[in-house]
Amino acid sequence: MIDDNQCIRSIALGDPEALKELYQHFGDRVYNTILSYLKNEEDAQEVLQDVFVTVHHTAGKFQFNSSVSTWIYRIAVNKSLDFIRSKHAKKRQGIFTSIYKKDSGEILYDSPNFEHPGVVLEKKEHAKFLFKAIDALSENQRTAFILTQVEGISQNEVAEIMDLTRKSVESLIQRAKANLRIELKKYYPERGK
Amino acid sequence: MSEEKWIDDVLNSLEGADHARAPQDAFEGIQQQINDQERSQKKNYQWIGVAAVILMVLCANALLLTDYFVSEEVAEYEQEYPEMISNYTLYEDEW
Repeated sequence: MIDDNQCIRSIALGDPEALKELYQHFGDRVYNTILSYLKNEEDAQEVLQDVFVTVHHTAGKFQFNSSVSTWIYRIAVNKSLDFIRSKHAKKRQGIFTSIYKKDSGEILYDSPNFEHPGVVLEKKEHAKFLFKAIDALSENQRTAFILTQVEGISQNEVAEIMDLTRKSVESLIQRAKANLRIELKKYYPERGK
Repeated sequence: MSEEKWIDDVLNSLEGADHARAPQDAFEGIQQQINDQERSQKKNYQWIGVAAVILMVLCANALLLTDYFVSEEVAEYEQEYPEMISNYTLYEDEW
């Protein structure tokens, strides 16, 4: 068991082994979180790398006011949301330019039919709908839902990551679930039959 | 299957799910990015050093040129008032 705080101190001093240790400890979990946001393995790997490069560059500035885990998740969530925002901005730009370039015929982004690699085989079809519906949530509801339901982090830690109270996180999760129910009705296979 | 039951199944579809594993080469990518950034930072520092040297040479030259023209001006004044500058006597014959 490594001491995360010591690891961060060593990274700040330029120890490459410490970064590797920290990555081995958090890499998969952070990747899983990012993948739940981005639903694309290549994009998730790119953001994962960006997260740990940021950890490496900012380790010296870490104040130890929160746990290392909270800090890393906070970076991962922010980077994931930034990535989605920039992707949406590009998509909007694509739509705008396509008005003027009707003959380009290029599809910039298609809607992903994402299959989470960790989901149990018999639940994969259902999980596809869930990940599709998650997109309809607001950023805060999405974060609260992903961190608690997909990542399995406690509400207290999620509150710390999101810089909210535990009550607020609880309410965000409730609203997220209610909105998911509304959204999922659109995907019900026997709808209209 | 009723709609409500289907929605419940979808919402519970992540139960028992494992964490996705990060790709094997992800850490090598991280190291590569860090090394690339450090290398480009070093290059930037080298360019800053070169720029500083060029600036110093230019400043030194400017200083030399200014000094040269100031000396020329003084030399011109020296020619205009040779006595005054040579012995500091303004009214030689009055005493």
